[in-house]
Amino acid sequence: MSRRVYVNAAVWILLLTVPLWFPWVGGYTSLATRVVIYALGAMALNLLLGFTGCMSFGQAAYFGLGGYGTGLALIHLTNSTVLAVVLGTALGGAAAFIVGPLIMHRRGIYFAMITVAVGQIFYFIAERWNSFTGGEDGLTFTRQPIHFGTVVIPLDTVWFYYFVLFFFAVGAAVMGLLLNAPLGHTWVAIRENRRRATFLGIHVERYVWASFAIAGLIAGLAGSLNALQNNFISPANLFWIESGNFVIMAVLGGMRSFWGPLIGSIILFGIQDYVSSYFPNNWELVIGVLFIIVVIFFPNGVLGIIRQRTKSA
Amino acid sequence: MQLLLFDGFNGLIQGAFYALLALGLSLIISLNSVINFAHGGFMVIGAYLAYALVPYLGFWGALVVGPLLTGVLGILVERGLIRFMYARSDPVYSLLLTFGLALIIENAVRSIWGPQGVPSTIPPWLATPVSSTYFFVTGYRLFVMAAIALAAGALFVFLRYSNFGVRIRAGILDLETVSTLGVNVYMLRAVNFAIGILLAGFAGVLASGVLQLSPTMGNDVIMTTFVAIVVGGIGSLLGSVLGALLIGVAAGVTSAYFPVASDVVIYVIMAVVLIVRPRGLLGQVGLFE
Amino acid sequence: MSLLRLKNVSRVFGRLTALQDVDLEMEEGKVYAMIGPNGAGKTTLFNLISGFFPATTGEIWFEDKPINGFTPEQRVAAGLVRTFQITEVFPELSVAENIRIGVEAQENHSAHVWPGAQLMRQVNGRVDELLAITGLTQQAYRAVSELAHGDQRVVEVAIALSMKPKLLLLDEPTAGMGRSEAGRMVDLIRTLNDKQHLSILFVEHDMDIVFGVADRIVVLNFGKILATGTPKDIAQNPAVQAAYLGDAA
Repeated sequence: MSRRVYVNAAVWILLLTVPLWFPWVGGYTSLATRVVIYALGAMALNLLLGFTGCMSFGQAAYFGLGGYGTGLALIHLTNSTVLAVVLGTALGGAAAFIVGPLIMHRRGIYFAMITVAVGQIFYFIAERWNSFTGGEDGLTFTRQPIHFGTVVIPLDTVWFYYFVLFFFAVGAAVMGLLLNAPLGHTWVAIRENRRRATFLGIHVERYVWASFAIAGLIAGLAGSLNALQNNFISPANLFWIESGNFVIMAVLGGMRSFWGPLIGSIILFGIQDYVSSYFPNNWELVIGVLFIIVVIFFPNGVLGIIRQRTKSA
Repeated sequence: MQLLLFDGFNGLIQGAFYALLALGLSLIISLNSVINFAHGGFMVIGAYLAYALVPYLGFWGALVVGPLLTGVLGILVERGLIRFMYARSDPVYSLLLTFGLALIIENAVRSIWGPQGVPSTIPPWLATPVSSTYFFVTGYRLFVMAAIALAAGALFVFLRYSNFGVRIRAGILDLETVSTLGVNVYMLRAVNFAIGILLAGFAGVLASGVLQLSPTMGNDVIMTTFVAIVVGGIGSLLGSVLGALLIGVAAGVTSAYFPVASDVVIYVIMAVVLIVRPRGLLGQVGLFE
Repeated sequence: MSLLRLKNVSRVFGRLTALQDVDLEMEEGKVYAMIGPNGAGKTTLFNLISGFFPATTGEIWFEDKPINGFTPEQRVAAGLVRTFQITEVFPELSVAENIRIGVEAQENHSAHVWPGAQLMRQVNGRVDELLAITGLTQQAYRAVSELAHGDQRVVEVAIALSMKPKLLLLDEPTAGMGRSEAGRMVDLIRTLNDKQHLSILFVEHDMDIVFGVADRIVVLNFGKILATGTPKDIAQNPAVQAAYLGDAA
C-alpha cells in the first residue's frame, strides 16, 4: 500500500516542477501541457477500456464536445475561462450521460461500433452546422486571463500549464476516488467476469452507464482544456482517429494501471516530437511498431513491465 | 430521376465494393476470431500494388498478381503477428494489434509512394460508357460489378463444395473439434486469413481503376466495412454482403437528395438496425459479445 | 416449513422433455446430494432451481414463497445461491478482492462512491471471516488465476457464501479435483453444514463423496426422480441399484 503513496508522490512532484526540469531534457512547457491534457483524456478512456473492460472507440466525441462547449461559451456567453471549462465539461458529461442507455446493453464489437457511430454523428453535426460550429474551419477564440478580485492571472504558457495541471488533478482525484471505492471494485469485477457479476445481483448495464458517463465527463474536461490551449476547436477533434490516440496511450502506458495513460501520453508525444524532427513523416510508423510489440509481448504496457520486475525483485 | 439512378448505381457499386471487403473481414472474424482493423490497409496495399504493377504487367496482369501478392503478405502477417493473439481470450487484443498494423501500413505506403494521391490506371476501352443516356455506366463499372459478383460467387462455391471450404465452415462453427479430427488448424487459420486478405487486395486493385489512391484510403474504408458487417450481423457471410449492399445503396440514394448526409447516413442506419435487431440482420447470438 | 419445494415440475425444450413430474421437498439444515447417470436431467434441474429458465409446468417454492418467475438475481436476493461447474471467478483479482465483490454486492454497496472508514472495516471484516471459514486466509492476496484448480473452486464457494445464502447450490464441486483437493471440499461442505447450519444441495458423480457427506440423496433418471431418501435407503433401493449403482453397491 505505501508503495502506491510513493509512486503518487513522485508523479505529482515531477508534474508540479515540469517548467523547471523539462527544458533540460529537450522539452518545452507547452508540450508538457499537451501531454497532460491528452493524458487526462486517455485516463478517461481507460476508465472504460482498462477498468470496466468496455472497448470504446468513440471517446473523442466527448473530448470534442468539451472543446466546442468551451469555445462556444467563450464566444457567446462569457469571458470567464473557468466558467467556459465548466460548461465544456458539463456538455461532454451530459452527452455521455444521454448516450449511455443506448450503448449500455451492448458488448464487445457492437459496443465499440455504437460508440464510433455516435462519435461520427457528432462529427457530422460539427462539420455541417456551419453557422454555429464554424463547420470544417472550426472556431477560434482566445482564452482570457483569470480575475480573482484584484489579482489577474494571465494564462500564458507557464501559468496555463498550472491551470491545466489543476484541472488534471481534479479529474485524476475524481477517478482515483471512484476506482478505490466499491463502485470501482464493481467495474473491475465486470471487466473480469461479467456473467459472475450478474449472478451476484449486480446490474451490469447501470455500472457500464456510470462508467461511460464519467469517462465522458472527464474527456469533456480534457477537451475543454485542449481547446483552450489551441484557442481553437475543429471537427477533427471529434473524429474516430482522435479516439484512436487515446487508445494508443492507454495501451502503451498500461491499461491496467491508473497512471498508465499518462505514461502512454508521454511516450506518444515524446516519440512524435523527437522522431518528427528527423523523419517528419514517419513518427507514426515508430508508434505503430512499438504498439504492436507492446500488444504482443507486453499487453499490460510499460507500467505492466515495471510491475512485473518489481514483483519478482 | 437520372440523378437518382446515377447515385443509386454508384451506391450499388460502392455497396458491392464494400461487400467484397466485408466478406473478407467476416471470414477472418469468424474463423480466426480476429477483429482485423488493418483490413482497409490491405486493400490499400492491393491498390498501390496494382498501380505499381500495371506498367509492367498491364491491367489484367496486375489484376491477377496484385491480389495474390497481397494474399502472400497476409500469410506472412498471420504467421508472424496475428497468431500470437489466438491464445488471448479477449478479442480486444486482436483489434489493438491490427490497429497498430493499420498505422504501420498507412505510413509504409506513404513512405514508399508519397503522401499525394496517385492516379488510377485502367485500359481505355473499359473507360467508355456503355450507352449515351446512362453515361455513368462505363464498361469499367460494369466490369467491377461483374468481377465482384464472380469473386463472391467463387468464394461461396469454394466454401460450399471444396474440401478446404468445408473445413473452414466447420472451423467457424467449432475450431477445437475440427483440430481433434486431425485437421491442421494452423494451416487452416493461415489460409483463411490469406483468403480474406486476398479479397481485400482484389478490392483494392479494382478500386485503383476508379479512385485516386491515397495512403489514408484504408482509414476511410475500414469504418464503413465494420458498419457493413455490424448491420449485416457478425458471424454471417451472407449478412455482411447484405449489410454492405444496404448501406452502399442507402448512401448513394441519400446523396441524391441530401448530399451532405451521405457520409453519416450509414451510421444512422447502423444505429437503427441495432435498436431493432441488436445482432444485425443475420447475426448470431453470443458472437463477440 | 420446507426450505425448497418442487411440485409437478417439468421442463420441455422444443421436443425434448428434460424433466418430468419432479416432486421434491428439501428440509432446512441438511446436505442433499443429487445423483444420476449422465443425461438424467441433473444439470437441467439445477439450472431450473437457480433460475436460468422457468419451469414449463409445475410450481417451485422457496421458504414457502413461490419463485417460479424469479430471475437468477432475484433468487440470489432471496437466499438461493449457486456455484458453477466451470469455475467462474474474477481471475486477475486477488482472493480477498474476489470475496469483497460478493460482500459489497450483498450489502448493496456496489455503487458506493464514498464508503467511509467504518463501512470499509465492516466489509473487510466480513471478507476476513469468509477467508477463515473457507481456509483461504493464507492465499488472500494471491491472484486467483495463479491458484491451483481446487483452490479456485473454493474461492468460488467463498464468493457464493458472501451472498449470505440460505440454500447453497454447488454444481459438481469436486469436478476436476484430485483426492486431497476433493477431500478438502468435502470438509468444507461438512463445516458449512455443521458450523454455519447452511443447507446445501450439490450435484456429484463420486459415490464415496456422496455417501460420505450427504444427509439425503436425490436420484434422477430419464428426467424423473427415481428415489429420495437417506443414504441407507438409497443404497438398498433396488430400482436405484439397477439403474445406477450396479450390483456392487
